[in-house]
Amino acid sequence: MKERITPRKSPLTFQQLFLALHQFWSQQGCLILQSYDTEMGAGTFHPATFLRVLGKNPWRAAYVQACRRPADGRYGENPNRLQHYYQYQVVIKPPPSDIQRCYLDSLAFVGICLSDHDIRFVQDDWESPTLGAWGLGWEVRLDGMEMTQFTYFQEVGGIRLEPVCVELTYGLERIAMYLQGVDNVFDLVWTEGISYREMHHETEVQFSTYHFNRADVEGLRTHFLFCEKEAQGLLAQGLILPAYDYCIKSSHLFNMLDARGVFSLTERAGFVARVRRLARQIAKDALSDPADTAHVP
Amino acid sequence: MSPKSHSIRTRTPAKTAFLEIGVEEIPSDVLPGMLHQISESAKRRLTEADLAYKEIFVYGTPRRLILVISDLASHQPDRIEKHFGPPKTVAFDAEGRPTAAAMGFARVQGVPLSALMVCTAPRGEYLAVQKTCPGQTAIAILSSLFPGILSDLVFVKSMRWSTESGLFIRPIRWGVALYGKEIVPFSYAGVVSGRHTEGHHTLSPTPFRISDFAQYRTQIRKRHVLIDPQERHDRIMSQLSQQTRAIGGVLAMDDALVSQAAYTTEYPTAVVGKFDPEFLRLPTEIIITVMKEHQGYFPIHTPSGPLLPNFITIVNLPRLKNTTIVEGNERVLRARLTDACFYYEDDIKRALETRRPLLKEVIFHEKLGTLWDKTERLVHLCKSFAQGRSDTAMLLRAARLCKCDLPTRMAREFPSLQGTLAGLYGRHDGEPPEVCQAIAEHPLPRFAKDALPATDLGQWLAIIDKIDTIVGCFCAGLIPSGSEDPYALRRHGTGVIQLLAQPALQGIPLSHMIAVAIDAYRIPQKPQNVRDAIHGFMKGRLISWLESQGFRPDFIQAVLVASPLDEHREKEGPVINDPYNALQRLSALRHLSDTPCFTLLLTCIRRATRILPAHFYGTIDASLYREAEERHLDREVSRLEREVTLLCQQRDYIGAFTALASLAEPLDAFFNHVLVVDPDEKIRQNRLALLGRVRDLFAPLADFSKMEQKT
Repeated sequence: MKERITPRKSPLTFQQLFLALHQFWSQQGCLILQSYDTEMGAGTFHPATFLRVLGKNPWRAAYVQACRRPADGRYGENPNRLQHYYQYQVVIKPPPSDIQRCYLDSLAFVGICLSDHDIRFVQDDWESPTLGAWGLGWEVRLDGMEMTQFTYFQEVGGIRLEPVCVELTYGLERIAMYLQGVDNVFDLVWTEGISYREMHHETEVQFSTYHFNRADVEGLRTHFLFCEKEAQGLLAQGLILPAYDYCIKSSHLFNMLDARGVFSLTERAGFVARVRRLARQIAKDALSDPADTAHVP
Repeated sequence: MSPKSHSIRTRTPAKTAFLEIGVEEIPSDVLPGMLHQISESAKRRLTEADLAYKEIFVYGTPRRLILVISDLASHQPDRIEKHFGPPKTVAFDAEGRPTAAAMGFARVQGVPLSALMVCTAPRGEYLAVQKTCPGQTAIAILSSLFPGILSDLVFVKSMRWSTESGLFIRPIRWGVALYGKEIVPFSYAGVVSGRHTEGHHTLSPTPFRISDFAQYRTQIRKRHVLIDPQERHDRIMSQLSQQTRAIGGVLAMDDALVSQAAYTTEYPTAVVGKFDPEFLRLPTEIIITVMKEHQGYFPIHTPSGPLLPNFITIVNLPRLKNTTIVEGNERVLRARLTDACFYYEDDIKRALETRRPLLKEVIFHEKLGTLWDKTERLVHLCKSFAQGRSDTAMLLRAARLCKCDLPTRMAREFPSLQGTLAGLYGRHDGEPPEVCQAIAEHPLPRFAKDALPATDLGQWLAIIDKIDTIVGCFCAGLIPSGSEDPYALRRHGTGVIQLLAQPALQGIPLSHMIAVAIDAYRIPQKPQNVRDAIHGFMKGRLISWLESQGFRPDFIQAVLVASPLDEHREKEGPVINDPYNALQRLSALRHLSDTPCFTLLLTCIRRATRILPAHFYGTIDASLYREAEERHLDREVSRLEREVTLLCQQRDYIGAFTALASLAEPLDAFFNHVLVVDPDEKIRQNRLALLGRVRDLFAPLADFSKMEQKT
């Protein structure tokens, strides 16, 4: 039985927001995990999503994932764009038939009074060319603002999922900005007395400078080649989990090179295809590994 | 409408059948097509099932597909079936008593011997039995018909959502299926039919019970759902105009946006928001694109033209409780416009021209080189076609710059602004206005009913760009087939035809432009006959465009087969060379076909062409005329030959057809009084020669033998 959801009196702080989501999804039977410790562009890269969605057994997990998008850096000057931000990720396999209702309940749980808002499911067919993954679903909009990506994964790592898996990706900063009624992400209250600015403004300034102006392109290219080779070598030895780490790393290195604007369109497509090849091989090996070392449920 | 109502034997009164399929939000662009498919499939299946009904209605929202069948008969009519048994000779012995074969047949059929009869079949007389099969009940039929309709639906992209589900556009979550007040039992994609539905997803989410369609209809409205897309559409339209009036603005109507709003809501309401007038420093085109493409907002203009710092958005609620929703939308737009300003101001820091070398890195198509190569070809083609123009330099400038916005951030964010942005950036750099306008216009028309470029330079650049793309793709073997047209070549082709059908754009035959464009591609091994393939493709576009303009297909054939007499063009040039001429002749022909003498004229011309042997050519000897009617026809033909030639040269096709219409009566009189196949060979040849002249008179305008006689 679900708890009766009562509206909250004062808006949640940033940390209360993800604590509330932890509480909500924990009640839905989700395993609560931590952010993966390698730089990644989206919570989908977390092994708890990429690897665990592949097999047949049920899986329910929720976690906060710190994400890096080097090209989105704005030196801390843009009120909405960040090169480092937080996603709240929920993966459930197979999707329960009331998952949409459940998701709406989670919004009410964090303090969004559903009947006061215009909540829309806008078609958005999701695709990750680097992970060889695609799915159908929506971006959920709250009064015109994109706040969640709601996707039924159909394929991951080039493998057709059986059963399919639902992925909910909440944009934590946006939801918090809405709840707290602030126009600038840096004005978010992280917790009483601490703002988002204190935690991350300097990160934005320094990393924007690094990604756009300082990153050593040749070094990054070499590093990419090393990661790619390492992943291939580890796969050959059946070390799927470390191989996947190097696949994630190569994807992030690609993102850094891309932010430096060094790719022509064709070269860019070529790099994406190389990461995808790794991801596909890892998914295939993980699924066919007789010892199930990757714990693909 | 009921196809079978006359044959129905009513046992219980007809009732309303009702199907509602609850689905997670269906994409707005496929919903109208799905509703149409449901209606068509229901009609077909009901006819096949021989179940009488009065009318079919389909309704739908993003969350539900609804089918209503009014006055559906409770049963199929009974059917009488005749089963044949052994031949009469085998069934009865010499004394006329039934044999074992006859008794066996009766036993197998489950009827007494007395029910058997003898019927005559094509191969002789046979034993037979007639049985009445009672019709199935509506509920029995509907329980396979409803899931059948769902499985009939065809989607471009479908999905799986659970282990027992099949494929559907989005997950199916409930099904209400009733005949009158009774549940029609079935299951589809893991969902079992019942009588519970939901209202609006946030205002009325608790499931409720349905007794029948009439009760559903009132209850669902109370639960904030307008099931009829037309009602939502009308509500949006009236609210849009109301809200626009309230702020003293003028709405930039956008039918696609209205339809999108109607198909993404269950209860639409128009809401006005505002933005900081400071953003109006951005070019209008950019503001409008930000509003429409990202957010689906309607821009509002002042009565004199410029934008107002306002927008209208359609929310999915019957009314607003407070200002939260407006403020939320304003905040989103503010963020979007801030981003657009960032991109725009960053882009204009460097002149458009300095981005030209970057085009060397942008692939047009892997087999066809980069956009730099494309630009160089455009310049070359412009040079070849613009000889002698006073504004050649401007055309070349426009060709050089028209793709330079592709490597900008704004174009990456808003691909639909390509071209428009280059025009804006060019204007900012101080390029001549004519150049900027031509650049901005060159991607037009972007879709079927889009505007054409307004200026001469824009039109030429648009044609040349499109021809280059078409020719390149054909050279690379990327030819559209069936529903596959990844490079939108059909749209490009139709665009070229539309442009060449403009009165101003005459002078260079399309076949010549195609030939030059083929030569401009420096790629090895162009396919053989690529030119013919492109001509055939363009002819298809011409026909399809003319059909879309409402011309009869047989008229189009008649006009395209005829070869226009024009001394400026090759006599036997490909038909694609003069879309404008084809359009003019078709309009004139349509005009003629509305006049009373058209049927008679058509009959006579067809008769003449039937009698004439193929490729007949003869000379006339006036001394061989015997009848007044042939002399009269000769005089009329001679007069018209001069007149029609002159009118055709002046391209006055209405005049030419009107003149030719006067031939209907002399021709009719000729056929009524003169026997063409005279026994005298010379007289016969002479009469045929006269008819040959009649045929030649019409030949440059239209081939009447292609036209269908309509009564």
